Amino acid sequence: MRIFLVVLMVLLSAPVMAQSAVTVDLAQESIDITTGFNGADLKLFGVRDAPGRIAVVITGPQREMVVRRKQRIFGVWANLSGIKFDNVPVYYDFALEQVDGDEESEDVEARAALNIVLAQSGIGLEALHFETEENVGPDDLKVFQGALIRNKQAEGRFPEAAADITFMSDTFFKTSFYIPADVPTGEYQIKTYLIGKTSVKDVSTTNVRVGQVGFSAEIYGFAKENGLWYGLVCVMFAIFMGWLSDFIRRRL
Amino acid sequence: MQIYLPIAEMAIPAESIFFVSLFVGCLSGLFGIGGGFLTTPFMIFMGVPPAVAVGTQPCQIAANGLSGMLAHLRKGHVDVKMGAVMLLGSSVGTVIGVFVFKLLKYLGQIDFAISMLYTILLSSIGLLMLYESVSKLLRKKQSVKLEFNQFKVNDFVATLPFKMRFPKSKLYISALLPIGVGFMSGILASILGIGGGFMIVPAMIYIIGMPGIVVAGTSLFQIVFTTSFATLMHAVTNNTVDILLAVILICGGVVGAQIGAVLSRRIKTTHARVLLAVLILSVAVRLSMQVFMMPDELFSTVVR
Repeated sequence: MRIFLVVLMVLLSAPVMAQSAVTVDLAQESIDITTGFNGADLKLFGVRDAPGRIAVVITGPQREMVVRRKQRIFGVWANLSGIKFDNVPVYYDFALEQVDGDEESEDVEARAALNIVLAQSGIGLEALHFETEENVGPDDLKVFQGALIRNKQAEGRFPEAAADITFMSDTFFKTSFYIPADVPTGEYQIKTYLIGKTSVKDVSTTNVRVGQVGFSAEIYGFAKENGLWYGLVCVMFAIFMGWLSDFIRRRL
Repeated sequence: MQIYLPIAEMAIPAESIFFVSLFVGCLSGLFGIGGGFLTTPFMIFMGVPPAVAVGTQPCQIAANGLSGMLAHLRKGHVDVKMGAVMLLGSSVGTVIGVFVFKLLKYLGQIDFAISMLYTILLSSIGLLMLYESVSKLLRKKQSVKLEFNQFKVNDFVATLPFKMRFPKSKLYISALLPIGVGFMSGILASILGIGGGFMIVPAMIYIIGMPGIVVAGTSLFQIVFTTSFATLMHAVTNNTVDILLAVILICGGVVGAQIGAVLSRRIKTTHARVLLAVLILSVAVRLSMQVFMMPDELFSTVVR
């Protein structure tokens, strides 16, 4: 039902917002993590009012992350070296419209031009630049950056390849991103690009909040703010269950 | 059934964790072991972050330990004074352990340290248990306990200061002994998330020299308080206690312990002990692979 309303809204608002060449909306304003949460699909709908290629990028909040390398020492494998990167998004995924003729890729120049635009706009894994303040050689840096991407892909937080964008008509499109069950919480940014031959024609930005709600959120908040009381509740529960267990055993 | 753990920030199959704790609870009812040293590695295998597994496990041990302790208390088999003195050492051990844990986490060595320590611990317990149970099966009745008891008060121990009387255990010994044993228990509870009964009990018999009848009850008395304190410390310092995970673990453990208690009246544990030893050894082998074998992925990424 809500999806239908969104579709309707997008379709109706498109002619009014003529100044913008691309308009998008989400099927839901937030990803709610409840006790039963087991991953979710984030659906996005949009309308394109000018010719060009559509690309959608979703980026989670940035964190400092440490990539460590295991090496063999005295017969055991231990983390011996590491690099700290300052601006790694906790989640990243992107979708790119496939245009007829992409496969043939006869037009090498057009392909190169597109790649430059993608790289400049931060679309695709190659376009991500992880910064570090540490003093490391370019070779090592490359190895660690590659490892970072591999690790994140293994966790399902970086994509293996671009997601598809489906067109229901010439102008109306949709795409969806899978949000895994162990996704970090925070404000996620979704940018939709309309890309011309050599430049980005228009960008539309929207946000989605990924967060725990309800019981789950209350526990998390309580544990963060009142660690002592939270710990006491845990201990009291354990004591009660221990007593109960003893009580049951005496009756058996 | 997938359940989202609010502190671990991940979804786990609740029934698998429940059955693991049920199984371990059953073992603890059968053999009188705490079982923390099995539950924690199992949780790590299932993908629970080691920090959360170690932070939450003491909570379950407190529940399990309390029900065991109450039974001993009713029979009058708890030396409360000795337990209280041990707690002095264990609270210091817990505080130090929690901070060492935090430091190792910061240095990125916590997973390595946990795997390594568990490997050493489980392979030594497993081998000892295997040796003991196999030799029992072969009817070589070696009474190891007697040999040790003969020199329980050796010269060095007798020279330690701060002597105290422990009427229940009929001992006049230095308070440093129980404090030291308690300290070890606190370290084990906070770094490895185990009660450590399998190390505390022998230490109480051979080092402190307590009479066998009060050892189990007193060690449980001490473990209940130590693990409760470790839970509190982890909750305050590291924020790694997941109450939902604790509830699943405790429920499984409570049910399992009843089954184990019933089973223990019907089956001979001598043969089953060999199986338990093999199980412990296989967990040790599985853990040691993480340390000794070349991993598929040499790199790992964590949020600072």
